[in-house]
Amino acid sequence: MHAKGLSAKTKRKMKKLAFYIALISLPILQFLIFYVYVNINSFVLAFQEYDVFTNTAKFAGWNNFIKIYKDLVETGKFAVMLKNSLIVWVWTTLLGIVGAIFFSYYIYKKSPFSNLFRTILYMPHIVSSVVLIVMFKYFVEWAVPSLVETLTGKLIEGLYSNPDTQFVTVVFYCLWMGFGTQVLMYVSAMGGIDASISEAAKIDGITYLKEFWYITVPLVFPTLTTFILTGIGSIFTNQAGLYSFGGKNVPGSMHTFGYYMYVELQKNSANQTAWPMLSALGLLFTFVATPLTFLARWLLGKYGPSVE
Amino acid sequence: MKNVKNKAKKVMALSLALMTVGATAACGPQGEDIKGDKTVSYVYVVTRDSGLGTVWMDEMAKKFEERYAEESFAEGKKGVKVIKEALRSLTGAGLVGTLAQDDYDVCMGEAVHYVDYATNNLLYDISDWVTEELSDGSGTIESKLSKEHQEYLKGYNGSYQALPWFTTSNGLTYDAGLFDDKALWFADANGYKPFTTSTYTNKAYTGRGFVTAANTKKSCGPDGKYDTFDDGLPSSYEEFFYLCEYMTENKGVVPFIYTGASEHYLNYLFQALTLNWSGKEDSTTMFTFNSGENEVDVITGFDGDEPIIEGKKITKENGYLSTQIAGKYYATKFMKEMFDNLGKYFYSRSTTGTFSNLEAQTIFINSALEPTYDPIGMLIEGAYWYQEAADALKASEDKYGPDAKNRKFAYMVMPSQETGTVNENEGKSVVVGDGQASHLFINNNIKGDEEAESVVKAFLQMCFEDASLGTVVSKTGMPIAVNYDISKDDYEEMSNYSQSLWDVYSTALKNNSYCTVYSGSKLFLANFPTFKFDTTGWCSYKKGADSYETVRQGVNAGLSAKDYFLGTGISQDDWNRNYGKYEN
Amino acid sequence: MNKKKRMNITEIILLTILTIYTISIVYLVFWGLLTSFKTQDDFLIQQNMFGLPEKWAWENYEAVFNRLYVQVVRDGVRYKITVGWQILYTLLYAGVGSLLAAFAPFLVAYACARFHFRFNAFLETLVYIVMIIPEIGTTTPMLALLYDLNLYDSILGAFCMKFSFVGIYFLIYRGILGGVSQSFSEAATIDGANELEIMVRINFPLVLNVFSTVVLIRFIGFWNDYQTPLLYMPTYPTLAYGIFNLTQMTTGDLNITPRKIAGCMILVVPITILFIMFKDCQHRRN
Repeated sequence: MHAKGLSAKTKRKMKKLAFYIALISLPILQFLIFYVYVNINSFVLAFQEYDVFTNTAKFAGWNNFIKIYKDLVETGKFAVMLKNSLIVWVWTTLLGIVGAIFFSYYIYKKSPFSNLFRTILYMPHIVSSVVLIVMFKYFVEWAVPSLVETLTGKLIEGLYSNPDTQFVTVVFYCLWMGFGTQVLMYVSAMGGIDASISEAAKIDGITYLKEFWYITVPLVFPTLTTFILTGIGSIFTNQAGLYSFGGKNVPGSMHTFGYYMYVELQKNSANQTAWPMLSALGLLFTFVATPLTFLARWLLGKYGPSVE
Repeated sequence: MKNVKNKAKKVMALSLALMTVGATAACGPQGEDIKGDKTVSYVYVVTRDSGLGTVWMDEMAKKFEERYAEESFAEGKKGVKVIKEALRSLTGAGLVGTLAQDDYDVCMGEAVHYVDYATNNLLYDISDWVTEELSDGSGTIESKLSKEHQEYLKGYNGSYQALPWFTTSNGLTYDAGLFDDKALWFADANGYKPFTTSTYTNKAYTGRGFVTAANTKKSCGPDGKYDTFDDGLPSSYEEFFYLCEYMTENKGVVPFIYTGASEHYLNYLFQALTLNWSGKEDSTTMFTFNSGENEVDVITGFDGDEPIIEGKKITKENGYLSTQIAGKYYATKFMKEMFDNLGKYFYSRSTTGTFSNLEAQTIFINSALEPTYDPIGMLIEGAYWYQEAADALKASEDKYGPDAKNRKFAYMVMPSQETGTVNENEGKSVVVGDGQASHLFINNNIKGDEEAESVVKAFLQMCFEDASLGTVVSKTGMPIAVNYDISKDDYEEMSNYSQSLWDVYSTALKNNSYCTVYSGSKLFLANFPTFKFDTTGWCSYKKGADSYETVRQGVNAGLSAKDYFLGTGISQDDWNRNYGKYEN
Repeated sequence: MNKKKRMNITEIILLTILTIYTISIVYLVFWGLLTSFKTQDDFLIQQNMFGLPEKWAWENYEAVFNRLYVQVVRDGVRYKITVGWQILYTLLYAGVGSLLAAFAPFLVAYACARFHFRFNAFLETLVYIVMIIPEIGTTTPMLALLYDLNLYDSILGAFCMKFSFVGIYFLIYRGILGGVSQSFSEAATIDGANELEIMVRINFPLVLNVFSTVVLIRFIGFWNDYQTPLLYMPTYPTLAYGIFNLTQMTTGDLNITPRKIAGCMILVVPITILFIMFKDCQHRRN
């Protein structure tokens, strides 16, 4: 009786285990191949050289990194990309957050028209970035000069064509369309705040702005942190919509790391000799971004606001 | 629970729908068997889907099917059918990867360097067909090819594997109707001179004046001959910019328009300027690296901003000098002068990066008819633009009526001297070359298939008969780059613009001033991407990390004509290092 | 207290900025829509940049529908992939892809919620860690992997990439499923239902709302994404890929502003309608 009961339980447990494994095995396998292996492979590739004639790969030591230094750093391209990537990051991630969090607060407080705003802020999610960018590009190229001419009688070049204004135009676009994503995220985070806290504060006569600063911001700070942290990686991956703006022909003066990596890989998708260097570049960025992310996490945890 | 069931049903339905979609998609977009009719012989012709258009193919197909309707190329078959297709991909070395698997027989590609394909054994050897007498008695195809073309085409291994097709004299198109209306022609004598100084030289003006109502006889133009197509056109740079000033200051005409979306089209003008300045013989050395006894005007240095021009015999050893021919410098200087006056001389949207070629053409066509517009004098474009603009031309006719029909557009011959004017018998014949590298070639896949070989041969030979060439020229407006003449009927049938292109081409042929921009030089054959006569490379600026595709970009970056010119050449060291190993 | 709350100065400033901001976004799309209906004469020659179309040029849409294609070479055979085919590829890529992307995290989250194995803790930690580590240089090795697996340039390869459980949706499912009482499931077990039935009949319906939201969000993302198809499955152009090509064209009769924007609208309209319908459905349910 005892033995039989135990075996039934074990059997049941075995059955459960079997089902458990059945559930997770495919996703885990996918993870092992498409995440773990891919990441290991990025190491391997970064230290390889590809020989077209023998169709084989061989160990390359630091050659790919030396090539990065020669092709990108020495020629000054790296500095340009670094500058551009940082500008995009500062404007869209850092400054974008400030604006977005105010907007979110407005919607969260159910101030007038907040539902309408919320719906419209969804738009950049639904409409493809290539479409928005194309319309934006044609607008600044056609409509804006036309408007300026009507108003002032002066002829100006399209904002994206003019080398003096093209990068500013792109950064403006990123900031302008970037708000939406963030706002939606913060609004839902704010929605999670216990209503009693804000009620209690109201009874104490707290002002609109003070509640924002002392209650709402600290409470959604974890969400903010997440956004800032993922944003650090984006310094190296953000294409700033450049591929949609100009395809493969964006002038070098506007390149960001993200654009460069995508466009180079796209051009060389059938040319294995180019892969190791790109892989090395990606690896390099990961090595910079990962400690930065953890450092930022630690700093934000230590010096970030907390609710008292 | 019902709700849940409904939802589950919906999910199921969606999944099923997706599976259907998947099943359909997995089959792929299949075409029907295009050579399905087993009672006729087929020839499969493709042409590049571009500004050169498909008209030539349609015309030749029609003629071929008619001519051979009753003939048999294989047992049990009667007549021929031409399968026609326009493909975007028929350009450059990219074709190498696909040609072997492709099933077409005759191909008209652009930016073609046949050696790319020949080295991969992708081309059918057409030597026998090319050296055979054509059925119309006009000689062999080979006899219609220029000496330089023959050398180029046989340069790889002595056999013919491709033939030249369209030749496009790219550069400036002007609105001759507007020149009539606004009296923008230069007068033969005692013309009207609105300004005393030249903006080009900043000195007293030394060119001619303009025609007036009382004085309508035009100057002899750059060729120094009366009653030719270039009468009344500027014959020096000084006169050219005097005209631009006259247009803008006195006549309310905007001199230029071009497409900012394809800014490299500006180099079409650069090509025309270089060729006309340097003349055929000097220009040819950019491709042959061998001037024989001829001394070529090259720039060997600068004294301050003034170029030092010396006559040099070009050989393979000093071939780098051919990248510094004087014509290139003056082309640069001309274009710098244009762009120093960007705001004044150009239609305002030209520089816009989204201003497409079709849009530039449309504005150019309509500007003279639309009351709210300042008319535009000249369009910087490829000679093929008129075909591309067919829709726009038709829309313009629909809107403005008979005035818009067969407008008097014409090819603008570029001057070949800086200052002064050309008097009778002093000028030079117009020099034109080809900027599109369009060629016809046969897919090697037909090898061994007797039926295909005989049909394709008949088709190709038919294309090079004089009457066919005449039809193609008359229907497309673009000359074919071989020697022939067209009938009066064909000429009459052409639009004003096409006639102008033909006038220019046939004159250049007659005067031996057509520059075949190819050669049989081994160095040239092996380094086509560097030396090809297109809108990139040879006329673009490269120095260190800086590169500018056009003079406009150079001007924007603050370069002088001298700086830009120096950035387009090849240095002696680079020449020796990269090209020293080739025999010429 | 009945008196309507007066707005404070911060609120007024924010309202103003937000109003301008949303109007600017809506106006851009509206401007695009108007432009897409203008003729070449209207837009280019008359320079009618802001007004209504002089004549509604439906032919712009017709032209894009009938003449836009992407030419690809697959296994040595040339194909002209027309708009119809592009839509088909999109439905397949985005449809199946979004189902897979929504399903994978559900499977693992369900496994973790339903069964108490030690491995769960490992899985959950793994998700957190992977989410934090920035993923930067993986496009190149991914491409190499797809080549190795013979999945490069196939929709199947794209599906494999989408079937990933790691990410925010895992956490969301986990949160919901963790809060579900096990009593229903236990009762069903006693009634003789097997684990699969319990998952499909009892637990899946509980997350169906979230599931469909995730599907929709991913579907919209995949519908709009042209870069992944362009890089990993270049001969299966989706509609977004085709439209991207259109916007980059420099020749042909589609190469004019209103037609390029008309192409963009073809990409926008279906997905917007789908989104509105879905929102509407949710509203009615709630």
